[in-house]
Amino acid sequence: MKPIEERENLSEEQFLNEIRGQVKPVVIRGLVKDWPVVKAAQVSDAECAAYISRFAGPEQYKIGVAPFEAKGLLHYNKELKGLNFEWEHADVGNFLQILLDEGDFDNPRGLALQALRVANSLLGFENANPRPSFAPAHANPHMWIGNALKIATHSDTAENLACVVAGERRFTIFPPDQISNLYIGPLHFTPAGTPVSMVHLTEPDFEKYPKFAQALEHAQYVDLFPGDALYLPFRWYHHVEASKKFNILLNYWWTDARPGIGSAFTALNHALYSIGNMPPEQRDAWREVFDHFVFHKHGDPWAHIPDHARGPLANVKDEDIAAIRENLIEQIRNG
Amino acid sequence: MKAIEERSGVTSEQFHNEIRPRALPIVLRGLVKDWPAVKAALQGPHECADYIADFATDKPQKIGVGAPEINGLFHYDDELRGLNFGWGAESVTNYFDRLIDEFDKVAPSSMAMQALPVHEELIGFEEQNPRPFAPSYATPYMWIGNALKVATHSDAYENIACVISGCRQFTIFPPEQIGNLYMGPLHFTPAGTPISMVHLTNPDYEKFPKFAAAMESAQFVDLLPGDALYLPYQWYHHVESKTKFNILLNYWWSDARKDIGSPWNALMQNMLSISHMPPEQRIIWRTIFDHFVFHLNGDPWAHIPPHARGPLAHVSPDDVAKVQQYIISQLQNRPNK
Repeated sequence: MKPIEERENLSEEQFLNEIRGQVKPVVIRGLVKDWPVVKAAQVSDAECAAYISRFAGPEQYKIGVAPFEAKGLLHYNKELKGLNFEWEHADVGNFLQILLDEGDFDNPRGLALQALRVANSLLGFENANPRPSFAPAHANPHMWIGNALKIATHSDTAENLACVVAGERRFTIFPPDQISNLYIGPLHFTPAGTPVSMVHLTEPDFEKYPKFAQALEHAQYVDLFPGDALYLPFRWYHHVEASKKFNILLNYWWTDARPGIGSAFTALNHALYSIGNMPPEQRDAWREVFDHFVFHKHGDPWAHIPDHARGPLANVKDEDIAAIRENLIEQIRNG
Repeated sequence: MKAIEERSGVTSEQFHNEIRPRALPIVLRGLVKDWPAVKAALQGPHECADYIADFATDKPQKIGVGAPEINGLFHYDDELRGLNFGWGAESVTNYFDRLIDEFDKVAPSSMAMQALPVHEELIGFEEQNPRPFAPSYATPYMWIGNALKVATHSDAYENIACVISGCRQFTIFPPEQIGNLYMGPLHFTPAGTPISMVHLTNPDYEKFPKFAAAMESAQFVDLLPGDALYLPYQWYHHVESKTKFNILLNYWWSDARKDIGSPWNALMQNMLSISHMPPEQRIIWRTIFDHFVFHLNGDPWAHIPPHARGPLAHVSPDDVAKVQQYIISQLQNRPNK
């Protein structure tokens, strides 16, 4: 497997033009090495936990708890009728203590506090550990705290700058076009809010999932240490394995899609319901229509039509969005 | 331009088992040559009009009427602010009279009665002129007019089009030519479905250069009374009727389930949402749609046991209301993010 490209002394302009502009993942070693939280982590796990607890409040959050037998692999259960872990609740300070304590056990449970919203949940943390300039101001920081865990391959509807605070994390990543080689699981019911690959990266069943071998040919990986960061472009698939007893990641998610136009997943669901259930030759015909009008495969589908005649959906104005949505609802109700 | 493949002596079994699965167009000469309506048309327009008028209700029907200057080309006006023809209403019988009145004019008005539903408006016609091949759930429509050019468009149906009277030239394009046809507005159309902005019989290649590529894959046929054309789902077609009195009867049908909503609604929602995302995000969503919606990599659910595939994979009729409500509730959510 190929390691992810690493760059040093990357300027903001280079990041924008050579990385984001080229839709390329990149490892930036030591990007946040000066964060106080990273320095605390380098002293000890306990020091890091104490540092973070200073910013934490009494609010309870969902904690994923997996039995030792799950070997840190948070996924579906064998029958695909539920998950192989359970949800419990704890506040951040308590959870950090539970995690430290779990480190003393021979057969530790898998413990995960996922995607804690730093802005709401760790007041003041961001001022003390300022966002790297590569993450835009509208990017939302999230914190991921846990022990040795394997997070199944998935992708997010955002660009991502992931910074390791404590422990060690291996990212194994796949470009978006590997979707069919990843055997993506159910959309309606997922372990983490987004569909996951059914293949276990660390012990793949190639008999059941033969095309995964092709996915691996396109895979890249990196081991990140405290202070290191990975930039992951929009919707790149990633498997994340945290390997220490105490691992913390802080990531920034952002998207340049405009607000109001609705989630692409909802639009996908609508198309799945309608076109996904058509006879194959009709699906093929609609693919051409979607390629043209939705995905702009042949360029701007409206270029040859004067502005006034393009209709409300060609270049949607913010002030028209509510009316468009209402109109759509009415159309759906009318069948 | 290539002629559409012709077959004669096709049986209904061959049609359904060999021709339809290919999803390719085919001309079926003489398919309805024995219809009394066709035989009447072969005697003359008056005989044909009389024969059909006998079945007609008195109900006024929508008709399109264009000035002589448009030369039968029903389209948008030059500024794309309206249409270049107007709408009126006539009973079928009166409409035949008006059509016949135009026969002797040097510069006749263009007149069209489009998609007249035969079951409702020509009572008893189908019993005497029985449907060929088209499945029992196909709906017959009649198209009556003089010399007209109906702009290139496509329908979300399969189609068997049978000429009763006059001469009709179909020029057709496969669905993947969409990018070369310069499709017009979706929200406002002359005939209920988007049409090509290019005039097939007088194309402006400077304005529409890619149309030359569309023409390379175009096929055509001239249909005479009794002849039929099978047009697969969503094939684009330009229809030119060439005489003073032209009648077509067509059957539209779709094998899609009736409870999966209109694909246009799905398209609209995606045009609102994904079309307005940054180009690099659109490209990625296309990969996801190709996989899950268009099954480009095969059945996207094959590796998941049926109980875990979710409500959208093979939507059960019992779940349809729930799915629709979900889509609606998502649209009702106030925009955030």
